[in-house]
Amino acid sequence: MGPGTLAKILEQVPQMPSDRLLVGPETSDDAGVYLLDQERALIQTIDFFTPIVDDPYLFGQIAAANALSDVYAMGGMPLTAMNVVCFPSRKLDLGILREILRGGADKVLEAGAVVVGGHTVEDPEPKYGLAVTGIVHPDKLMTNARAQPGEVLILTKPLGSGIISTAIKAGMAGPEAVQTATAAMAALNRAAAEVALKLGVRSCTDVTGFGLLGHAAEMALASGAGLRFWLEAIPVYPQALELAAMGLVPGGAYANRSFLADRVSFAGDVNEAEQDLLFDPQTSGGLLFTVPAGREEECLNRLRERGVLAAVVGEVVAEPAGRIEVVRVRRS
Amino acid sequence: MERIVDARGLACPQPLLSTKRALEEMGEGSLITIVDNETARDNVVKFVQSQGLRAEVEQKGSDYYIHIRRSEGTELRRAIGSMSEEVMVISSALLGSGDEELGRVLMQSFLGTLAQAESLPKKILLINSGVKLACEGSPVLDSLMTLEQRGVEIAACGTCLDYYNLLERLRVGSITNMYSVVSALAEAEKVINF
Repeated sequence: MGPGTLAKILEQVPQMPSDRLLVGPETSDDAGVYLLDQERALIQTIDFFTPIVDDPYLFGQIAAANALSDVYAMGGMPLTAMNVVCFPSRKLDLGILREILRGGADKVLEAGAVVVGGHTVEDPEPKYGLAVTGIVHPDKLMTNARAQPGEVLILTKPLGSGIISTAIKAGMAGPEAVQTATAAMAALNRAAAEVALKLGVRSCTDVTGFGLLGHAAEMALASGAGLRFWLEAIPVYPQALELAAMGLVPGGAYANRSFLADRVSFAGDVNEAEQDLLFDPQTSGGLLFTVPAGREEECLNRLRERGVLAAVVGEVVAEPAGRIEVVRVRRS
Repeated sequence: MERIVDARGLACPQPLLSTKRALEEMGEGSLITIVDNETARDNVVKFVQSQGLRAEVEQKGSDYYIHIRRSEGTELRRAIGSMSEEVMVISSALLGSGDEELGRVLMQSFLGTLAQAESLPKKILLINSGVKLACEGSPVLDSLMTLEQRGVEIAACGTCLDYYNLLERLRVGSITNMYSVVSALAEAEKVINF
């Protein structure tokens, strides 16, 4: 559901203040965090969606990597997961469901967590995802509310997975785009989060349905700072720009664009396809986190050692607070 | 005559695909695509413009009528996905005929360049001494590995590997038989021979 629609509905639902709720719905963060005791806080998150690739095993892996990502984005470690399944068991071969669940299980294993059960619903359209529970030390919690002026922004996966998923549905994505994007979508954000934690990062989010600029805008608002992106520095999947220019833009990108219209400004030379890419809803996108300026090389090197190809994509500024600015290149 | 694509009620990317198909079929003439939401409208307009054609949008109630004109002789640009139907057949470890050393150097530089190229074939079939390129000790292993990582399917002829006693030494790609070679060539939109 688009961010605008959702916000309107949630306004009419009672809020539940609690002393122990470290992160609740009001900052639109990736997961809820509940303080258990001085040493431990519980992280809870859920995410499921319709198939975005034809291969059911790969779809299971991507859905699980996506659901687990919210725990990593908070600085936590996943402990348990529950499958959420919608499936037309009388219409589709049950072997497909087995492959989806196998893909999910393999990713949960890779994350060092366990699947403890799940719930299935008969539905004409298959959907899969997981509810994940994790744990974090309250002092190590990473939230989207702590970006500080003078820091730079690190992004750990390229953009364009929504556009490429749309192109896959249309049969118009080239093999290179499909291969690169699906492999990255199936990759856990675990290594990226571990590097961020080692560096003492406290401000992090993962880039998913609201697109890079949507999640950045939440970070800006929650942190009371502004974010400036350098377009040329942002990694993009092969062909994603061309595909966007050909109209293979998911509806979510348009919803994100209209929701963010008065919080984002673009330099005059940023074209429409480039803007679409920045609003493109990501499936299992990368982490977006901040490090103090001057430490970015160390951070990128450590990420590279762990097999994560990340980039420095922008900076945190004091003014205008709560807003996003996109310029073409970094100005010193 | 004016063709009409009624794409109301269809989810993206269906309106774009129906428009694409109609444009390919009609050659020249006018086309109207009717859609009922802004996402479909914007995506169809983007597609039409990416093909070098003009689109005019007319709103009627809650529907959008997108008027497209394709004049005679305008080529549609190749859709990205269709680039992938190319099969490259390499039937020698040397490029071109003539001096052997030159042939080796040319093949090295050819595959090195291809590995960095923007548009790639879907498949590379290695036949006869071409199979040596994918075996241990070949100077182009890196290039072939890069191509494989970028999504190009690399297949070496099993009979040929056997003939040169290289079955155990294949380092990139898969082993294929004549049946697969024939069907790959039959399905290919375009075959490039070396």
